[in-house]
Amino acid sequence: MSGPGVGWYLILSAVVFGTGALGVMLRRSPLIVLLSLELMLNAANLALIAFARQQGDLDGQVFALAVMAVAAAEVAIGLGLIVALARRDLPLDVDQASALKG
Amino acid sequence: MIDTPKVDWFALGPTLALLGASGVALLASVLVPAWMRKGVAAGLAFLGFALAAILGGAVFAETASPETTIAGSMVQDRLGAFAQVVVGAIGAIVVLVSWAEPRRSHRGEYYALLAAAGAGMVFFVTASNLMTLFLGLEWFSLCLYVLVAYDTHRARSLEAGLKYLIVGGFGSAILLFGSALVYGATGELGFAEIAAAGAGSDPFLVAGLAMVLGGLAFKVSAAPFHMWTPDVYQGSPSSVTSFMSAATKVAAMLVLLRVLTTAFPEEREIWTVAVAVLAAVSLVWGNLAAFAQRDVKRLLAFSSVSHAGFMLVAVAAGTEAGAEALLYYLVPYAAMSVGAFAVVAARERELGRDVSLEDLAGLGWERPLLGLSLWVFMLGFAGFPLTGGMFGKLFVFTAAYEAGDWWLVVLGVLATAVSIAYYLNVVRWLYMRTGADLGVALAGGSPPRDAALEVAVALTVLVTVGSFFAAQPILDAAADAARSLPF
Amino acid sequence: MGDVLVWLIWFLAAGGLLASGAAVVSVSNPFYSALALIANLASLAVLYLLLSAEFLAAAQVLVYAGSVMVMFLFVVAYLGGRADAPWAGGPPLLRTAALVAAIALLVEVVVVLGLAWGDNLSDPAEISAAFGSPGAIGELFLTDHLLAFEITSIVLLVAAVGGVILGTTPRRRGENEHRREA
Repeated sequence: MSGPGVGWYLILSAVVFGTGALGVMLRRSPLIVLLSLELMLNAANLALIAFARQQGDLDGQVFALAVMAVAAAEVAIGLGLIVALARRDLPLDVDQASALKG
Repeated sequence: MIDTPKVDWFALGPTLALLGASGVALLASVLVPAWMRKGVAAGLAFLGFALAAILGGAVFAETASPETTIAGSMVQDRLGAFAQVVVGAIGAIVVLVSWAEPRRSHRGEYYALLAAAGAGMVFFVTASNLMTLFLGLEWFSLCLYVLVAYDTHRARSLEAGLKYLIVGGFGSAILLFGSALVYGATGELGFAEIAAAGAGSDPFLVAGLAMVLGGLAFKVSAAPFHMWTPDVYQGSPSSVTSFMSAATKVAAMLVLLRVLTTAFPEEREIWTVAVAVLAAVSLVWGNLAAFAQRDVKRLLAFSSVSHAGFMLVAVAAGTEAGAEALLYYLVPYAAMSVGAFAVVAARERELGRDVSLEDLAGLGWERPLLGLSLWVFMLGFAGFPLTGGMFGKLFVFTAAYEAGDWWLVVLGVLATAVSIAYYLNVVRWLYMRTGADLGVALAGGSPPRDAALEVAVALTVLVTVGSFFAAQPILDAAADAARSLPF
Repeated sequence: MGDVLVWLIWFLAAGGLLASGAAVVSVSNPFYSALALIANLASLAVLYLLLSAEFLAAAQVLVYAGSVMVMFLFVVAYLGGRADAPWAGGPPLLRTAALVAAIALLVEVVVVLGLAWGDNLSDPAEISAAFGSPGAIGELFLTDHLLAFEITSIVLLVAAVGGVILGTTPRRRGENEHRREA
């Protein structure tokens, strides 16, 4: 395989996954949180495809395709919820929504 | 020519029953005259759940030893069948509980979604590779996100739905990345194949195991991944909460057990410790936080976190006895959980607002059946004799002790002692009447008759008490189911 | 020469990936954040091509960038000003906890990759030209992963039904709308 080895792709995947996780934990707007969630899922996809190349096994790619579909479905429902909240003039703020009483 | 795999329709039976019920209910919600929609859809959902439970029982009877089917994507074994029976029963009871719930719109689609969620759970417990695991998880989770937000006219419901989606999505993403790492370490997606690949203490495998465990811990609301539970349980419609608290816990716990024992047998030393830590944190956090709660649904949410702790003690044992104890525990727990939230739902429908402890005052006198039932459930949660909860805790502690986790047993006993205080507090409020409203029901006048809910609650009391007296048959079934795991 | 070109493309795609990823989580305007995610998806598609996942790269661009992100942008446009996304994420305790968790994750990744670099990640397997082609993936979907294929379609159906339920509002019934406590 020409170019960087699979390990380099994994580093990328891990960094993007971490970035997405930070976004989910730290941002207040549900739209940005949803976008960060997409980042995380895509980073996992990259890891799957990198490992698929490493093993010479297409299962990883098939898994990644299924994940793409599921992520799209999740986004659809997330956006539906956000629109429903906006229609009721509720604040689009994940922190204000319900206090993290843990 | 493409060699399509042989499809095992028998193993898929429960899933197909619920999926069919969901599909027909969805069509009915559109095609049938408006006044019939709720009835037809509810009836179909009830039939679907009942059929799933019956077919699950048939699979249990027919399957002496586990077999993976459909090209290794799912497994037909007694463990999955056990869970299918329990989830089917839970679903049928929840349909009864949700009958009288005031719903503004989409009355029929609710039951279709409930059946679809049930179908997802019933499939999830038979998943035998990482891909079907993830897909099954997302299947019922997406249904639940919508169900939690179903009361779109109530802000709390929408917010709970969004919160559940975000936290649930986060957990799923962690599970997915962990799956990718495990795939990278072994080159396999199937659980049995992962174990056979013999990757030992490969760093990718261990990191992947940790993340898979973390992702599943979100779903079972084990502390510290339980942050979503109180708000989501409180905000969603009470019948959905009763379904979630019982069915999701059963399905996710069972799958957690299956994944850990089937796919990672060599790493047992590592994951038993990790699960033990999760159990300890859940026991402590769940019980301590439950004390401070005034809202009954939040109290029950934290109580469910502490029960997740008890169940994880059984998983942490890492032995067949532990698996048996977990499977037995799930039966009375599910009944008590559904029943408790059903009683809260009844009070909520009377008052038209969230039920706090003060709002329970007098319920025991006004509606004796519900009051007595809640009493039984609280005693059951606390592990008093004459309820299945007692045997559940006994078996869990025995299994933990035999596996050498005596510190967990001590913690569990302490947690039980502490929990008695807040469970009995709930019972106290049931029968407490202040001078001001002596003689007058809190809701004013007589509460609406809700036959379906009362039947549901009666059934759950029957299971709670019945699992004490009929402990042996349940234990035998649990032992059979546990035997399908490679210990 | 070919190898240098591949490395160059890789660096460009990786740079784009990291930069757009950082942009998604840090800009305050959700519209720009969504655009950054589109750039991220494009960089990912290039990386997929380098990993011999041609079909997936195409699917990524068509499905993800083409439809999911368009859906996002529609919603951002619909929300208009309400979509403003200030920073200030949560109580300070949560912020430090998140930062600590992220650093822990990074340390773990470095350790894990360092340990695994030698054995696991050397010598990627030999692959045929049909690796990652639509035919090969399609065949897998009809044989080994038939069930997963069907489940995916059910997940999509559920999402569609959920979207309709959440999106339609009942006709207003006057005062009753606001009687129920929020």
